[in-house]
Amino acid sequence: MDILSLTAVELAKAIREGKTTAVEATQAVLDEIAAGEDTYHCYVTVEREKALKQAEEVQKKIEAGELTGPLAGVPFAIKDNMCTEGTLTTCSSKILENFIPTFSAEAVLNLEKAGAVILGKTNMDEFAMGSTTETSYYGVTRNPRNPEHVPGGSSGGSAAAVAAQECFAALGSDTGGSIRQPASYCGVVGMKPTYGTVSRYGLIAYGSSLDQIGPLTKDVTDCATVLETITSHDPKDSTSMKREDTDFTSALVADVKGMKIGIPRDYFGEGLDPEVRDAVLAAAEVLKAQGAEVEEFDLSLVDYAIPTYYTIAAAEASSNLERFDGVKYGYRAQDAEDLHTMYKRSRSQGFGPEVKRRIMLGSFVLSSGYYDAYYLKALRVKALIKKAFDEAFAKYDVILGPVAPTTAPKLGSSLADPIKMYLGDIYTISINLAGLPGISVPCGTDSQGLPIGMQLIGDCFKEKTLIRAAYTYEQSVK
Amino acid sequence: MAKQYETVIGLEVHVELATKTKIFCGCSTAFGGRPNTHTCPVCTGMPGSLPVLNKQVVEYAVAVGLATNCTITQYCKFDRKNYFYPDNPQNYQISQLYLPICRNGSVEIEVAGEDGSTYTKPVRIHEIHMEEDAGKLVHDDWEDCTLVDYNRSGVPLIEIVSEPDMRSAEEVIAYLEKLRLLIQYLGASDCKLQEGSMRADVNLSVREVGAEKFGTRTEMKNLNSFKAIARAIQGERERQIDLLEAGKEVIQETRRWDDNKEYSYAMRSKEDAQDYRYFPDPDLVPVYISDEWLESIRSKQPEFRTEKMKRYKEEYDIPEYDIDIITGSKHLADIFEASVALGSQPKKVSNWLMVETMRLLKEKEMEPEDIRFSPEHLSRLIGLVDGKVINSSVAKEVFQVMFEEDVDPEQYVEEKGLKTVNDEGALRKVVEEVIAANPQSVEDYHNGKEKAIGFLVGQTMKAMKGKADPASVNQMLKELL
Amino acid sequence: MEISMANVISDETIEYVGILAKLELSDEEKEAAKKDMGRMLDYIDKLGELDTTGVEPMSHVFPVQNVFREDVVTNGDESEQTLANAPGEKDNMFVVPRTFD
Repeated sequence: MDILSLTAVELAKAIREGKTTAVEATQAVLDEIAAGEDTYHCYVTVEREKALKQAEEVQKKIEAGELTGPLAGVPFAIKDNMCTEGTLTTCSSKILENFIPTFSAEAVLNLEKAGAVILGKTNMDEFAMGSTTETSYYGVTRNPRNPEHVPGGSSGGSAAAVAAQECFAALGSDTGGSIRQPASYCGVVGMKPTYGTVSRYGLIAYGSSLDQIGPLTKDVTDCATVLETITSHDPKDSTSMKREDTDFTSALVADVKGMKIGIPRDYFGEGLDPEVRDAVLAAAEVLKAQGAEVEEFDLSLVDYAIPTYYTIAAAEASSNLERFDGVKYGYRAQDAEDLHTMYKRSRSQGFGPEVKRRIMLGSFVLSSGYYDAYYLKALRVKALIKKAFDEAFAKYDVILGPVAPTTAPKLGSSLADPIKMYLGDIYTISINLAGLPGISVPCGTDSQGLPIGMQLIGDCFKEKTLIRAAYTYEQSVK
Repeated sequence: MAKQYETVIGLEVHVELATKTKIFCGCSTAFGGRPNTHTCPVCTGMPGSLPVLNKQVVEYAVAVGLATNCTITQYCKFDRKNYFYPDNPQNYQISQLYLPICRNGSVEIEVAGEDGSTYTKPVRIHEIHMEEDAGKLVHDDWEDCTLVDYNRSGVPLIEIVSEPDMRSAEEVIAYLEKLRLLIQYLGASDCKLQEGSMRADVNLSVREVGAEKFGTRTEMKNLNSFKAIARAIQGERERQIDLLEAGKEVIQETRRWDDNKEYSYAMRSKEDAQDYRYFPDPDLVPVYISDEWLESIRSKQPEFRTEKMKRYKEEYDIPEYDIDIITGSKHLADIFEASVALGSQPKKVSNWLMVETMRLLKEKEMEPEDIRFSPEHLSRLIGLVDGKVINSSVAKEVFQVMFEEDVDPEQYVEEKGLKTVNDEGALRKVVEEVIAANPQSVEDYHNGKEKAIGFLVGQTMKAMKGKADPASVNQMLKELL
Repeated sequence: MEISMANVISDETIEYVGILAKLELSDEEKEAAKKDMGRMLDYIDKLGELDTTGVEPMSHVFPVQNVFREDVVTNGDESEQTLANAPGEKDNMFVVPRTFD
């Protein structure tokens, strides 16, 4: 049995059936990490000993019948912006180079309760700001499908770890596409749930009103299973929603008959790589052949999503990142005699260029005299964007489109022009603004062999519809 | 002729609410304690932590708003106020700018005028908002650094912002006393200036009498007693007038009052841009105070001072002056009512509060809010006197101990053997001895000097170590002479 | 080729934003920041094309309100955890450069 090629759910089943053990699986994946990391660099931190110890404990509980869930014994990777008690958590930033949290994120605790084994912390764009994982202070991550290319970002390390079989599943976070886009680039499944579905407690905030944690997995079944496990109503997060319909795995049904799928014409215009366009439209045809009703429509306002997003996200980030000041934790510049010099040096030396760029922009749009013109204006446009989606979902069950305009770019080709890089988020960003769920499902490769992802977008709380559509597609092209 | 100036004052009053826990986390608000022992990830700004609002904070804020005749903002929100300082762990303070919980209120203040008469005037309240307190900074001279303790970080505050309606230190103090009393009556805070649970920042400007426009104002901080407030107002008024008289301008700035030097210092720094970049906190959801909720808070409002005074006049036979003093402190009024409810005569309770209690408060420089003895113990003490178990001078002695340590008077009297001797035989024996030992006084008495008996009573009391009832002694002396 | 920008960011603005954000930029970084911010603002100005009269600013996507905690103490002495990552510690407190003059 090739353990590494199993999905998370398959592995857990094999462990339950005694065909392998959590320890054996953990050891196998740690060996793969040891072999692959020189090339891919998916992780900032690997907790070898801890993971093996945790695997032993989990195995005992499985054998004692205390852990019976569908993920018991499965080794996971966690994006490095989620707090893990006792394990270095850096956000891929120098400013947290030595930060060891004293508590774990709620989503991580939920995984651990289900018997998951935590392997380590994955690389990301610094503070989740970027779409290539190249802004990490700890070096770039390479795309396992082609190491000359980026894995996408900001959850690039998590997506790459799944693709490189350096874990069985991973958690990522998505503020403007940071789960879906790297999933698309690395050829794995990635989902951003409805805002408020997974607790943000312990997730180091970038844009609080947009951030959501979600799964990166090998297939749709794993995705639904992981999402079901990490979802909870958390009284520690005021924006956490009380939901009844979180039995996501019940939607793993290959049937889209009568499902209404809308294809926004605005997502297929200028800037979209023809190979990506063809692959996504071909995927729509597959669903149509399975009985879905597919039609084109005009979503509108697509061009306004990026400026709206960058105003809101930068403003929130400028405030969220104020706490990194060298006083309570993290990097402190030495030799500063007075307080303000200490602040300035710690932050200037501790943050990288992309983070500084967004903090500067965010501070500016909130500053006296500009708040109304920039920040409030963006919040008003956000309301319009939400309304446009409400209108679309009055007609369609699912919106189908590309995840990103292109496949994974080459390393080093993106950072020079920030705006051009931001434009790459055009299909993912408005979903965060409207709080909607979105899933990225692999739908082929381009002529260079790089993966292409299609994005399915659902109305709020309609993850199950997305899972059903994604599962139907996946089964149809198997 | 020299120009006449008018002082224009508005106040920003911060009040620490009497909740058990902090505004956004389950840490205790207890005062004191070893540094950082009342902290958690939320109130120390740990990465990944999130705030959740304490419901009691909203209830207290609304109660204060209702008591100060404010309009309650039924849909209100929290905003972040961004500024870097180490006592502020997130480097933003969660506060309310755009939709504060209360607006447009007013309180009536009563002020003693210069001619001795009193006048009343309204002071308008612009708004009341909820926010979190900052931590404490301690200067370490030894290592020339600053130490930070977050025990107070996240303690709930309300900030009461007045309109610039006050014109003198007397009006300011009358306004503060009015607020303090209202809030103490509500139980929303103990409002102690010295301990910082009530703090006032003074916004002050001067203008020529008759001028329509306000002058440029300054904001003064670090005022922790009524005396300091009065001195700071005087000092700042003079400083501003001197500037204007010298043809200079007053600069709008924040100043720190040094009460020892009786001077204020500008707190300016090029690093303080005073641009707080307020925006709605995305981590907190809006608060909606429904009509029902508002009504339930309104229905729980206590009897305030004016109503209480009226009721006391109707129910108790005590002087108006006593009523004024007793209702001037919620704590005093509570002790009074509880003691009366335990069966003590109102007049007697009032006497203890007005005479001995006031004397000891003054002697020990304490506030009525600091009184520690319980109404049960006061009632028992009164009962001991009524039952002639102790006489009034012993009672005063016992009261002093009770005031200091809240001892049970019955137990204390028993333990110390202070009971009046009611054994007639024993008393007769002592009286006979006193008569025998003071023939001159006896003679004086027989010669019509009534005062002489007073001396003999005193001698008897002394011999009895105070444990006799003076009336009984008097009676027995007359009998035996 | 010089890119023309509608939003020209002055040295003073960059200086001022640096004070707000507590960032100390090198001359080179300042020049880059001026250019980047100007371009971003040009891009954000696109929102001006939309008529948003009468549209309420949307902070939260869902109309959730009144999420509260009860006033009950749940935390004990966590000072050890609070100070676990402190760059400087003395007497159970965080040490920072002096704040008073």
